[in-house]
Amino acid sequence: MDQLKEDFKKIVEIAQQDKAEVELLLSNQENLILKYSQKKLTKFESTLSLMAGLRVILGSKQGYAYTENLSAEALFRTYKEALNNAKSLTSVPGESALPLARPQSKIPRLDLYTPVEIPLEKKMEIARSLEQACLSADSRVDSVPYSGFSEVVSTTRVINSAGLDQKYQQNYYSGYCYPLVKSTDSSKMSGDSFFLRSFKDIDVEKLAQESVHKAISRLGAKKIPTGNYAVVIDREQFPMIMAMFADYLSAKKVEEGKSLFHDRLNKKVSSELLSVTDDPLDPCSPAARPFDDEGSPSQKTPLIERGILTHFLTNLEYAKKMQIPHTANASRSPSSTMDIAPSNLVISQGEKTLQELLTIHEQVIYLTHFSGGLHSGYKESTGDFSMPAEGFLYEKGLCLHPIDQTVMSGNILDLLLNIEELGCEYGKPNQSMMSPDVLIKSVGFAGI
Amino acid sequence: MLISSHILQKVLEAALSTGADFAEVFIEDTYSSQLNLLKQKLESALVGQLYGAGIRLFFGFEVIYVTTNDLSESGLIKAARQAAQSRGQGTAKKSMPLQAISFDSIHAYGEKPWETDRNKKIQWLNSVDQNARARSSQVTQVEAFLHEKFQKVQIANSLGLMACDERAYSRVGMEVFVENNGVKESFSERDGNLDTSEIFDRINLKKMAEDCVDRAFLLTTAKYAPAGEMPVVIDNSFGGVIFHEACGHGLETTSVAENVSVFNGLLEKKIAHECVTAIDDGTLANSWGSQNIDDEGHKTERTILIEKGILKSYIVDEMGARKTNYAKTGSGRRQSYRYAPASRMRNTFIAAGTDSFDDMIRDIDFGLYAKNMGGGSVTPSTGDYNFQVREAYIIRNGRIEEPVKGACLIGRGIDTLGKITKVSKDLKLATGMCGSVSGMIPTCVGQPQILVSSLMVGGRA
Repeated sequence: MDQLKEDFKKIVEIAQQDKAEVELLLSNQENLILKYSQKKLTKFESTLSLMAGLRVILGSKQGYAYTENLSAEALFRTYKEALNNAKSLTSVPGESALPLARPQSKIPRLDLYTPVEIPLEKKMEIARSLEQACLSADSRVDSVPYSGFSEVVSTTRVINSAGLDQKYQQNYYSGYCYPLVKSTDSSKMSGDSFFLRSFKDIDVEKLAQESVHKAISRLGAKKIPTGNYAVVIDREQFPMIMAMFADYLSAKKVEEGKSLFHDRLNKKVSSELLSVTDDPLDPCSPAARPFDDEGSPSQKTPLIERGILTHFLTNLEYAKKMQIPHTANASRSPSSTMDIAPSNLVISQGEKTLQELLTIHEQVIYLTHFSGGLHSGYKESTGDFSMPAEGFLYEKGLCLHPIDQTVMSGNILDLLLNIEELGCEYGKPNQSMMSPDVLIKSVGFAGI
Repeated sequence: MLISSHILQKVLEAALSTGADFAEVFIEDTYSSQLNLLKQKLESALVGQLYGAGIRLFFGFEVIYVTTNDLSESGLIKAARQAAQSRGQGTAKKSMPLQAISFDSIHAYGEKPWETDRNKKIQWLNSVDQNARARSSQVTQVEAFLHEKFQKVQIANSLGLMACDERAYSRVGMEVFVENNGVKESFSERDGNLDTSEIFDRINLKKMAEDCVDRAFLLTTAKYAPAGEMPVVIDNSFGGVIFHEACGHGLETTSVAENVSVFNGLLEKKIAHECVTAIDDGTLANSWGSQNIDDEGHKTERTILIEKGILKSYIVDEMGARKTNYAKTGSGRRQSYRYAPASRMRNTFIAAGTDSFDDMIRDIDFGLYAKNMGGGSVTPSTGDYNFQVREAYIIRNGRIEEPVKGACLIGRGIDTLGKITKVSKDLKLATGMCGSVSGMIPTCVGQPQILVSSLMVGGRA
């Protein structure tokens, strides 16, 4: 018997008496993390997290509560807490009732769950070999401070009082290694990672080689003079730039007055070379999902087409409130409130190879690493950024030297307008954003 | 007590059944509440409960960690056996009889979050909005939040330790958006305590809101910061994030024991200018980063990290002590039972010095006065760090002059420590959230005003 469904039916009966609608988001995740250091297993974590988040809708108000106890008693108590939270909000006259997702006949089929029984020893071998493969790749590898392997199996389920009950499962493997390399006068750390849905696709040697190459290529880095430079931002780093404007695409942020794109619908927001789509249907992406976090079927949504902003991302509430198309981008976890977020942002490819991009200007910075996160250098309310970075200085298409700690500064709106060319290749689908290499005409860099 | 010692004893025996030489159970029951105000009304309300256990085993230097939401006797024993069988095939070891450690809590709190009248909390948030808008008609948006957490923990280990604690956390935050002659800006502030929310009757929320408005306005008139190397005076309070990033993380045995910290092997060596004394103190009453006991059950303490430039101690947790033989410092911390503990900072600050702030400024021909800091990050293996400057001013000819914006500071920790050449008398602490291997935890950073003789400023070229 599906006990959760039976308990939810009873909650719905009570909700009807309260004149409320109710939605339950269930997340169930099993995670195995393995880490070796100096040939010894230093971390073996097997964690199971199970959480239910309830959203109760009272007209135009919604309250939230969550619990890790899935007994009928705890779920009922959680419902009451969410109801009380909804009651404590202020009603706005004229606001209409919030919608719930209705049962859908057409949910996209995505191949996200392919369980294969892999012996534990094989997984441990992967984790062990990540460190070993780095250490044996080059004599300059001093140690591998960070390496690890993890396996995740998760289930997401949405049930609501409109009769919707759907779930999907997924499993994936991920790993990373960050070797520390040393020369007589310099030490650098860099690395790479993988995200795969099939265990047999894991290639430890390749990952280690790429990681070691990235770290070694940074040895002997020098400061550059302060100034404005053309810059090619690497395909695996440009997602940091995408993360800067991702929130501006949210209809919720627009309505709250926090999006710098608020008045730009159907207007130019970037170079005409840039086209951006939200694609939750690519099974290779970590962000793939057949439906969003309120149960609406996922869809591909063009957001920026040849520089023109064509859509904002919405959930049911904001599509209705703002009278704009619904894009199924509801985003929340059981322990958070409802938000709107992209699933898998993809920038369309251009036509140039990386080497061609590096030869367009006499001198260009090839930016291969942002050293900090957005929290240490980006202000969303203005679009201003000062991002610590590393990379390489190129002249006439040839690498002169790696660049030691610099800072790239500017404004995201200017940067988008200054995109000069796009590369023709994508990186690995390790993130929920995909981009080719991107050439920016001119950006400021701090140095000596 | 969440679980009887009788049951925990059985759980520890099950955990040691395959040869582990140490076992620990961490039980947690946490109530959380978040209220958010936006557009002059309560925008969202969320409450929830975390309820689970983490079981950790050591086989020498190997760490096994499993979690469960089933806190019944059978559920806990099942999880302990799973942990034991995942690695061990050896002979069972015995757990010592559990003995509860006692302590007098120095962190008194008032009404629990669910006992306090919600209308009172909403009034605090409304007052933030009202005071900000009263300050200026050009305020376009105000966002405010109140987060509360009441965490009950129980820790038992195979060495016979058993400890329980209750921790009340309250934090308020706000962001004010303004528009001045077409230029939009915002400024945010946070404050929090290891205490229940009555603290907000004592915190001057009106002043916080007005300061946010004033600073946001200041930024609308500010030009962009220059780029390049220059002397930098960093203000007290959240300015201490520079020590947190440049040095603190590199002193955690999480890095040191793995031999990946630039501060490894430097105990009793000079690593900073002699004007620098730095402390990590988990015992400050009701301070945001304090605890009675850490998440491994050990009493927290005040740890002198650097004394007059000499490295005196690392930040040491249970596994760190095992690997390095340094004494534990009561620094094993974690976000929740979902994370294994790791050595982490608590309230970390540079101690008051003897220099005068005015003298620092007076000696500079051209430099930056970094008055208000933002977030940052560090790579402990290289010491490379960076952090955002939210409010800054140009120092010119010994005077603080025009405001500038858009700056960040970057450097290498061990270099920067040597370049702190002056430390003022005016120590202040500020609250933050620190993210690392064992999750996001509350920490305080702090310092008096300091002079860094040369630092890379990331601004506009």
